[in-house]
Amino acid sequence: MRARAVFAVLAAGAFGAAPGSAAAARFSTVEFSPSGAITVAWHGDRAAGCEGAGMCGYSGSISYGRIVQADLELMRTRRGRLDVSGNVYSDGPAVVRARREVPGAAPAVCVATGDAPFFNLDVSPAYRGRKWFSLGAGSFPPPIASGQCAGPRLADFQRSMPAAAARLGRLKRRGSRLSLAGRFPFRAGALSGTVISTVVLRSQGVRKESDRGGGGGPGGGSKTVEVDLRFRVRRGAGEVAADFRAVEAPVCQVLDACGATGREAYAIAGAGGVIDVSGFAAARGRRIPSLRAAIAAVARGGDVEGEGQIGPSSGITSILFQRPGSASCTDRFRPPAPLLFMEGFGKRFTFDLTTPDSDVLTDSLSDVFRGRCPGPSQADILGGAALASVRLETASLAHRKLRAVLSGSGRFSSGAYAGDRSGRVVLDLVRTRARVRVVKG
Amino acid sequence: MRRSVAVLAALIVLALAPSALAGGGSTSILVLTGPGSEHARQTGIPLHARGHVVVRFHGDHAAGCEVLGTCAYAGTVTWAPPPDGSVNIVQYGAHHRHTDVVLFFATYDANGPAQVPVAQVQRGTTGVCGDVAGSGFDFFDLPVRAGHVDVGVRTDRGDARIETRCPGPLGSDLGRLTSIRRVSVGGLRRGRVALDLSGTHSFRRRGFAGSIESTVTLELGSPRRVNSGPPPHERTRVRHVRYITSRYALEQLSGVEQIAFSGLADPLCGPFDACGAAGTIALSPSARKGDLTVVAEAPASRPRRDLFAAIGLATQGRRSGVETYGYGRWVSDGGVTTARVGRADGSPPCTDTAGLRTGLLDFARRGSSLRLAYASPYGEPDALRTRCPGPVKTDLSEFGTLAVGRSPLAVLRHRRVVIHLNRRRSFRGDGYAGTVTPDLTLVLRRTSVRERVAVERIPVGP
Repeated sequence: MRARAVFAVLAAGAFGAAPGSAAAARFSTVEFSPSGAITVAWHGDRAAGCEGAGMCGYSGSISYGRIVQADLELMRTRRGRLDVSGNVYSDGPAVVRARREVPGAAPAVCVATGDAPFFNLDVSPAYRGRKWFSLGAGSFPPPIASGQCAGPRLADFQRSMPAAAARLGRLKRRGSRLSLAGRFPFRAGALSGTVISTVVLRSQGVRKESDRGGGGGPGGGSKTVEVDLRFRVRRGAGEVAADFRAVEAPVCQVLDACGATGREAYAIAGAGGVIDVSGFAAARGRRIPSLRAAIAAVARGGDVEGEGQIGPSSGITSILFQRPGSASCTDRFRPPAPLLFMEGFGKRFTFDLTTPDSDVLTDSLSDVFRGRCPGPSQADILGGAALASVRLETASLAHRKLRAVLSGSGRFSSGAYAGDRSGRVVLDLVRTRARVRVVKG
Repeated sequence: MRRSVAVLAALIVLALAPSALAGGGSTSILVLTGPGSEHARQTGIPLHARGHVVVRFHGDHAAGCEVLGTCAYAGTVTWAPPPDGSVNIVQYGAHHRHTDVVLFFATYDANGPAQVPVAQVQRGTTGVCGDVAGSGFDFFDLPVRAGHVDVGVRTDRGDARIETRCPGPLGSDLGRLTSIRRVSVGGLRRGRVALDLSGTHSFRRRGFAGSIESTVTLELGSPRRVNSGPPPHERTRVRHVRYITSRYALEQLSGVEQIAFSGLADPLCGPFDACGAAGTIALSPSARKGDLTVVAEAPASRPRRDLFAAIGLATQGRRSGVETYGYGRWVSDGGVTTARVGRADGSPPCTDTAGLRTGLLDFARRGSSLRLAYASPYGEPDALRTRCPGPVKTDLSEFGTLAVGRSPLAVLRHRRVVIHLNRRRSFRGDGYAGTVTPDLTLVLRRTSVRERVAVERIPVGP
């Protein structure tokens, strides 16, 4: 659940202006009568090197079901800015089918299902007063991509989701039509594929809503010492890995995994990234204390919160999937950089290397383990836990250099796979900013 | 209320009440509501399910696979029942003498492996089909006889649970998916009992033979009385509603609906083993029994002529603002679905027939015309499914509508009404696409027109 908290923190950060502006915003909703469906079709592609990856025999599809509901929410702030975002909902369930056809063996198929998915309807500027309306896979929880079957990662086809340009004003008119139909190709490592959309949205017109939000009042009269620190990740090294094996039939058979073993490893080697850390403690008087004294106050009974991210090219994931009598499936990719997260009270705090979606049930855009080969996902391996973590002394935040040795281990069993995970990551942090304030509330 | 809970379930308004199992953990209880349910006594017992069902089958010469063209097929259907659910006991009638029992699995958040049944069917060494059951049906009537309930998962009356786009036996071929345990109604109502539904049995029927292995156990928790009425202290307001109900007897539903289909292009066809496959499905309802109820509903202040006009019984009157709907069912002793599926690789075609016993009728008014649709009932065998591969009803339309016809509303002024369901359309579903060409004739005879003014209490919140 901590990861979800991180997500909430990041979301709040991303929409930092929302609480204030929401109080003064006017909302309206464009509702659509949708039709059509989204299907992703893919296959191992020789031109993309499927032979080397052992994926030439794989092909499959992801069926997201019929789109049954769609809307677009418009928020006009008092300052005149217009924020537009929406959602498109399917009646689900989403069904993943991956076919394996290799010489010397009977063809086999992996079948997995996911919850009825929904997609973001993202809006961005286009040209001559038009906007791009595109389906996005960044919804929460995210739609299933390949589950534990072979196939593309969610991030592989996220940029190939349907999009169309249209004037927002026209979409507000009842009866106007936004066609998101088309075929949108993508490449995913050794795989190639197409997102096939027959989705058409027909506007039902605008439904206006009254002003929303209350805009909370000012905080109480008490005073707080606030410590703002920024650490740069000077060096990071280590690995978090999962060794897995297929469980017994019949579950392994449903997911075409019987007899399989493998390893999914995320290795960090490099520098980059920052983490902003805040400490809060009750203030004694109006005087601003020194950094050391402020951190000591936090350690006596205050809170520590921190969030950041390691550098975008610091880590790489390697996949090995072995099936008796078949060529091994291998994959290698750079996943989105994991987050750094600190949380604690008093003398000690927890420092996590984690991802925003570590506790979702299926695929996610931030999955550091899931490749295009069959195998368990990050959610299966971590079960909501962090990739690696460590408990640190709050007083250590006063040092200019901080070394954190994060680790994590455990067993997992989810779907067709069970195994062990272990990890050790060393992060060398250097403080680049320190500020102490006394604030109200 | 004398019919099975399936009837009640067809009219349900679902409400899921949180509860707790005796052994810890949380689950949900289904609340069944429908006409007359306010006089019924309902007990909900949360359950926790473990284990799985695996149906293994193969084309069998002794079962006639050569005639059907199914000898090359061998496969499995795997189902791991969702872990949560409930057993609901509904007692009604004088002194609650009649009892219906329904077993419900909470499939709404079921996304673990095979929690929706998965079919994987090999065609020799050349093809493989993988699909999930599309019905999403999660209720099973449990037969009650002489104060005892047979607890288990039966499919002998025909059930859509294991039916997919892949070839294989139908639910009605299997009889039951688990062992059946006989429990007294009183014992079941007390809850807190574990029921072992494990066991293995074999089957051989119409082209296929195989075995069904169950390791399913149900752990029943503490029972609780379920109140399907509104909360006692909820604020309500009263409104008077006028209903005009026009009932029709179905004299005949004749003709044939042809569905021509072929596999989609690779790779969309691949996981269904549908590449190069093409075929036809013919639906012949041949029904001579059934009914249709058409209802007009409006505030009692509206004159009745408006309601009569809205359901085509009068020419004078203002139809706008009158809610109009209709529903019905046909039943057939001789209806059949016939499928023939061939392949471009020259392998033997699959040919099969299955009984087409019943269907739903849906009436809607569009201005001065009516739309009558025929659909495959929720939870009952898919009208398109035979033992051959091919599309399912949800490939044709979102709600499983199979055929649609339109007529002027004025046709309902006659006592005997003839409506042609003949709207041709194309479809594109998972694995298959094609065209639907219905040529069905529905003959109805009006049997009664009733008026009723009801006092209804509308919740207005706390």
